[in-house]
Amino acid sequence: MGKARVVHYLNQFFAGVGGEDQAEQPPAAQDGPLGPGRLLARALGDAGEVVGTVYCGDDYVNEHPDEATAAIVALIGRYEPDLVIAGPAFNAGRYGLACGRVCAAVQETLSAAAVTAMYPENPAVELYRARIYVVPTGISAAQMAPAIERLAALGLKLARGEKLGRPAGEGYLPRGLRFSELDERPAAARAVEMLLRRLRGEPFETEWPLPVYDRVAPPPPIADLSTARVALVTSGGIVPKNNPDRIESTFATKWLKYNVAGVTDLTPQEWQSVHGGYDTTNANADPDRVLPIDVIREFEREGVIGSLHDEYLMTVGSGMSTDDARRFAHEMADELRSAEVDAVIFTAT
Amino acid sequence: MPLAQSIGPNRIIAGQAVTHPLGNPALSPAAEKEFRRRLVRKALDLLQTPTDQQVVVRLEDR
Repeated sequence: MGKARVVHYLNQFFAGVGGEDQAEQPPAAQDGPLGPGRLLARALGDAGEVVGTVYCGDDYVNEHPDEATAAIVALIGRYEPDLVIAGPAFNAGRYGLACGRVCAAVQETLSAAAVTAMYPENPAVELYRARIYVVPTGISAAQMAPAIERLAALGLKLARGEKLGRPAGEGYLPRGLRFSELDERPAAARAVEMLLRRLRGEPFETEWPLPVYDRVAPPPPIADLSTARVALVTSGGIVPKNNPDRIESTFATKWLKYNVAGVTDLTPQEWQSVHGGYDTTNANADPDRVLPIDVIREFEREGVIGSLHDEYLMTVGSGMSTDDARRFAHEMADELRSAEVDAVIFTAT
Repeated sequence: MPLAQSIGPNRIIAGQAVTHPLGNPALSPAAEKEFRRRLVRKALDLLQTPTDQQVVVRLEDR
């Protein structure tokens, strides 16, 4: 390949055009490096040259995504690059999204390698990590120098078409892709060796990290149940008959709420379970077996509780990732809190 | 139950079965409803119980 031709993508701020006031800057290009591009040029050394810088305002890209991306890629293409480096965006959300878009588009339409860098919690990471290479950075531009070094190193490898090893070793964020590898030692041997190391107090590395469930401190009890507003929430998939909002039976992408004001009993004619992870025969015969509307209404009538919240919240728990569950839980909690619900009974299958 | 415990909600009541956590088709409708009342009553009791760690409750005669 010789000296790699590198184009650097920046936002309006790092290109030196201006701050938030210039966030509508349309796509533009300038020969040679700009701003942090000069650090990048030094990091590339003799292996690469920043032949041009393409930049665009963060608001412009996010407000005219397709048009802006096409224009940016066209400007980049004029330099005939071997490699496009976008950012680093650190924790800037709009900039991160722009970098993700640009890299993804470059990979699809130009024959150049692409890489970007941002803080692992930048919202753009979740959206783009499976499609492009993202180098993790610190949270702010105070960490520019190490980010640029890592971008240059990984970028050059990609430009040269070198096969990359695992994310941790190569310095990019795991993309959620699974590759099969053959190990000479069978799994049993590896497991025993890991166990022996652990028993001896020697360092060992798990092949599969176990999920960590965070703990929440138990909230104080309800002082007076007879005045409390109670809500029912379920992951058991109870929905109105015929599943009007088409929630998925597994890998649900959402949670829903349904009105039960005046409903004193869930009947099979009007309600059903769409949960794909258990046999729903019993739940369909009597949906109260999963969402106990009938008895909670009795307790409401008897004054045991103050009131039942007019809506119940539901999702389908089958196959749900802990990340999604956590996100849905936060959203449901916000909903319940603004409805001034005091307590929740959550039923699961 | 072990799964629920490991994930860590603080106040847990064991349900009857996966396909009918708050029911029991083997019982008559009246007995089943009474059973469901006892389970939900237990839940309401737990909501009024102070605790600083995870509490797991089973009805003795589910």
